[in-house]
Amino acid sequence: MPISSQKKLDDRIKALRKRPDNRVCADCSSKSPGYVVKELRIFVCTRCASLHIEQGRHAQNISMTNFKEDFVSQLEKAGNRYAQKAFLATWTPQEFPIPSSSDDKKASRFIRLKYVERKWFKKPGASSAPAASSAAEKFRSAAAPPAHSHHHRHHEHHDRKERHKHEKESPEQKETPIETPKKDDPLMDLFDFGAPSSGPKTEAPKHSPTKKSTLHVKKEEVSDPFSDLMGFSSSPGTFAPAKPKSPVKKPMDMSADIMDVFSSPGASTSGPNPFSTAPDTSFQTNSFIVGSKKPTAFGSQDPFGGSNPFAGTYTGYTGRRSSQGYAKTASDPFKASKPAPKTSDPFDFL
Amino acid sequence: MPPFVTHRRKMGQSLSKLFSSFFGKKEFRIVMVGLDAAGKTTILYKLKLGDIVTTIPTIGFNVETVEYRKINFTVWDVGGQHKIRPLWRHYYQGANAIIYVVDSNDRDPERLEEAREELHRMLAEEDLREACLLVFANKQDLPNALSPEDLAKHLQIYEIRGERPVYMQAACAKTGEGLYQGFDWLRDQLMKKKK
Repeated sequence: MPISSQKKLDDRIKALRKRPDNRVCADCSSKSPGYVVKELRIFVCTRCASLHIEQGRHAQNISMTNFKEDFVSQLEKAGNRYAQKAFLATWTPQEFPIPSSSDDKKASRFIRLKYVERKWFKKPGASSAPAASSAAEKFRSAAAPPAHSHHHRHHEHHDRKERHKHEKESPEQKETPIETPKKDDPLMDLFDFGAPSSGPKTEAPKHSPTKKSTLHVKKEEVSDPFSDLMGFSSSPGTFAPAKPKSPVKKPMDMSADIMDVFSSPGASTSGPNPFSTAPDTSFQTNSFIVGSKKPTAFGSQDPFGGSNPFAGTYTGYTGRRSSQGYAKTASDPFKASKPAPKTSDPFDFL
Repeated sequence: MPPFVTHRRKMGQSLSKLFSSFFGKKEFRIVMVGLDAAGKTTILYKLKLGDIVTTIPTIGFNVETVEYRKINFTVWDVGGQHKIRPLWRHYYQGANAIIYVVDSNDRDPERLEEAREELHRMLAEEDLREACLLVFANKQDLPNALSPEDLAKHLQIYEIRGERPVYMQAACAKTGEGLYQGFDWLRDQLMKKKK
């Protein structure tokens, strides 16, 4: 990218950082956060960035990253204000005070409850968007100190009251089956990419996107920053063009998969855990050498073809690949991986 | 400096060299690079401490010596964010090996392309002409991870030319799986070269 256009994007980010809601960390009370969480499009402080990384998300240092244009525009539409509105919709300071910048344990729990378990999550309604966004901003500044608790639970703030009215008015808010799954639902763990228990659950890439659908997703992302993030697309509101999106899997975006899995719970339990089915020796056998010693093997157009010198050594990943629909036979995973792109390789568009 | 001092110093050096060739440990310098959030720092401290540390994106570098099978590896873990990637090349001089870490779980085509580009840009560096390349396909524990062979295709590992020994290893920094297999290979290669 030319330096000048990157400079422009950096300036946009700089302006975005000055927005009042982005001046405070999304998950604690620290000032002037220096990181962006890629999946959530929020601004967080260093400590909270590390907690997000720990939970498997990707935090980027703002001044060290060259952000892409469409990500910047998503960030402009999203940001802390928006996330606040969605992830802390039913939250009250009494329930869980905003953690201080020094209490890591509390902050970790808060982040987990907020984004993984989605305890207070509510899809922002399309009709109440403009009113609520300003309300959320005010609310945020009011909520920073965990004090002043006099109203009853869901209406502790004037602005929030207003928002609730809006929600009641809009009919699509009532039918939100995906937003409040039960707490003990195993799928709630999905956001926790790192946890081994989430292994068998995210089988999403099975329904692989075609070339066209992937491009489609990308375009939509620009128009609605959160459509793939929180499953807003399934709402008939103006926020997202609903139907064309839901069957589409964007393999990289776990959060999109989450919501899709919610809407079709049957898909979630299929497929074995690659780590439980694969033998422990998998890591000893799955490496291969690509070296100058065997130049002929690599000069050929098809490195995985019949004369593949590694075919014998590659036995470790059969469990994984079969769970992704790559290999159907355990005996020769390399050969099996060849025809896979035609059927269900989510990478066939490359 | 008076000549005799230099002489004595030289003698001391050669003596210690002789000594170390019999009893001491071999030392190698390794540069570990890769895109941001690939898991380089986690790998480094998993090797060093055997533990998972909480990390933040590295600005600058971390360096540790890791002893493995009587060899001292000095591992330089250099930050991988966009704006500090141009600094990688300042660490290349004198490196015996490169470890390139890739996040197997990141299926974003743009990121894969970025990883491929950075890898091949790095391999074109003159300072690294002699260095062997170990690629860690990290985060293999995640259910959505690309298989090492798919990753190799995307990174065009098969198109790496020349005499350079290349090895790709599936790994998981969190559990440590694959890391020592990679270092086994590295050790064998480096010892072979030394002889």
